Amino acid sequence: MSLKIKHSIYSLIIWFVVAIFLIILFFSGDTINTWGDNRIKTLLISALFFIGYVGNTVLWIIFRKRKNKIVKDERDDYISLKSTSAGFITTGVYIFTLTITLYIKYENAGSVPIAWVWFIAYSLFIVSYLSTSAFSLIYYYKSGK
Amino acid sequence: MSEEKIKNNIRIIRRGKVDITQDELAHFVGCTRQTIIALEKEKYNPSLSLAIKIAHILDVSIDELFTLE
Repeated sequence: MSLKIKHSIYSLIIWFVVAIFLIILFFSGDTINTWGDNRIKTLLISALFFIGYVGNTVLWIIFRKRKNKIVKDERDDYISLKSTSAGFITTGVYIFTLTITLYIKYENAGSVPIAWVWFIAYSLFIVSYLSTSAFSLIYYYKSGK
Repeated sequence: MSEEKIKNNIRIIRRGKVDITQDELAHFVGCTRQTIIALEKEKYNPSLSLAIKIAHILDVSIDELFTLE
């Protein structure tokens, strides 16, 4: 298993855990309607996101270029390009679907709770990292690992 | 742009004429062993520069190494 595959697996795990906790925190209780009053949850979600980025940094340190060892080559760059493109499209589809769903849900109310904007902002990055890592693994396995 | 299938004889030439391991070939051409594996399984089409490097190490011409299917 190449270092880049390991990197994708760990990144997928990190952002999957962040996604699970974000969903739990966001949808537990009445967070959506009481977003402004719930300072602890807002801070927890920010901390969660920070943990995700710390994880990313740790991965970068572990898998960075080393002397006399080829960590990545043209095939890794090719797969990275393909997975980034696929991740970009997935994130676009996700945002489009979510915003349209929110529009349909809150059309009669006339306004959308501000918490959803925060959810879109946080989940945008999570979906982007998750989808890029997942597509990266798919392409690696398709091209013989 | 559609990807065309390129067949190659890397495995045959590497094990027969030159007799080097995948690791050694990867080291000589500056790529990972996984890329050599993917090339030998014909699951990845190399760039022109990588193809030239491999041909050079295996001491054959590009035509002998790769054929367009």
